[in-house]
Amino acid sequence: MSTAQRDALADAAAAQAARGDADAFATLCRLLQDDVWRYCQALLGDPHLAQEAAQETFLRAVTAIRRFRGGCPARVYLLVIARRCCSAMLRRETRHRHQTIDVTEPSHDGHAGTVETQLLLRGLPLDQRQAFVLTQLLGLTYDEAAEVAGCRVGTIRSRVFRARERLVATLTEVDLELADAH
Amino acid sequence: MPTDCTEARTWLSAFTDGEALPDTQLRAHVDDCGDCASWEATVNGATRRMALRPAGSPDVITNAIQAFSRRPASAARGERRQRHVARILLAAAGALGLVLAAATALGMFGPAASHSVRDLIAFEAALSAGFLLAAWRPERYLRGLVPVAVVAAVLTVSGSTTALAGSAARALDEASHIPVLLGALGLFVMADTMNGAAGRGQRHVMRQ
Repeated sequence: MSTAQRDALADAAAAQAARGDADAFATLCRLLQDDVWRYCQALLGDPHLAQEAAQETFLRAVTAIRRFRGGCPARVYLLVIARRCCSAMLRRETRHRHQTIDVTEPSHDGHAGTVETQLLLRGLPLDQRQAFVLTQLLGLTYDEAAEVAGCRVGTIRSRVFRARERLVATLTEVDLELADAH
Repeated sequence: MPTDCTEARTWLSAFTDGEALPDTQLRAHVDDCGDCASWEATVNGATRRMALRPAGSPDVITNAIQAFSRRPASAARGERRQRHVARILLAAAGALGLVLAAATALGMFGPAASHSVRDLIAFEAALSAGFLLAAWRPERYLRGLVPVAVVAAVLTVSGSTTALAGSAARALDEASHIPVLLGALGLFVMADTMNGAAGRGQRHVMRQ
């Protein structure tokens, strides 16, 4: 299923869920849980925290979806909620960092295919990581990414560019090291 | 129009993601600049390597689905009604506050305002604008405004009470503080719908 088809289904499900349809809400959750979780994972850098933030996102959506009026794609609507959950969690983790795990500590999440990307992303500052994940991994347009991140489109453009510069440099280094090893 | 390679590459990066280029001169710059052309090729390759799909997320939705299913329809209707009332309170407070501030500034309630009164008018107008913004998009504007409005309401009520007790003011004069009180009440009601709803959903699941 293409991203556009999935978005269309999610928008239709969200519109029905806003009217109280429980089956539509379940469909919406299933359609968007991967995106919400990946976004939380990218922002928080830790699979356990990401899981907690993603669960909180969907719990907030239980009531927030009633206010969905189709002014933006349902995916953007949910990702905005996810950003707020992650922000709250980051603030909490910053306060209690000495008691909890380091949120920047690299850790394998057990999901095939994400390790290389996650490790590369961890080297990026939070704002660049967020912009990159929204536009590259989740496939949002720059307008949508700006709405989720709460900034201007030009800021997203600039952050994605800077993220790319860093990632290209990192990948080039890795390639050189591999070439030397052989 | 790009002025240097950094600007050109910023736009090229966006172009790689399907965004429109601002003008044709950008393309001309890349065609003329070997470094930028090489950078574009490298980025395209790197982007393909990064575009990995994960195997899937852990279960993060079951609790929410259960909470949605078990939530009584009356609770949802009640929250919608409460939110509607909060918006009306905030909009009324904002509009009334702006009208009063404008009328005071124009000298409709007496002689020209002094410097300190003009400052107060400016603060009242700003607070009223905040109420209107909170009525329009509560998720974005409400939270920061709550502590400001609560402090303003507490100080206003305590000041008015003291003045009325000492017969230093007429009740009609104190009516000018109604927008602040209305706005604080509207913010409180709206914050309750936003905070309480999520918490109620979670508690509902945890009780099971």
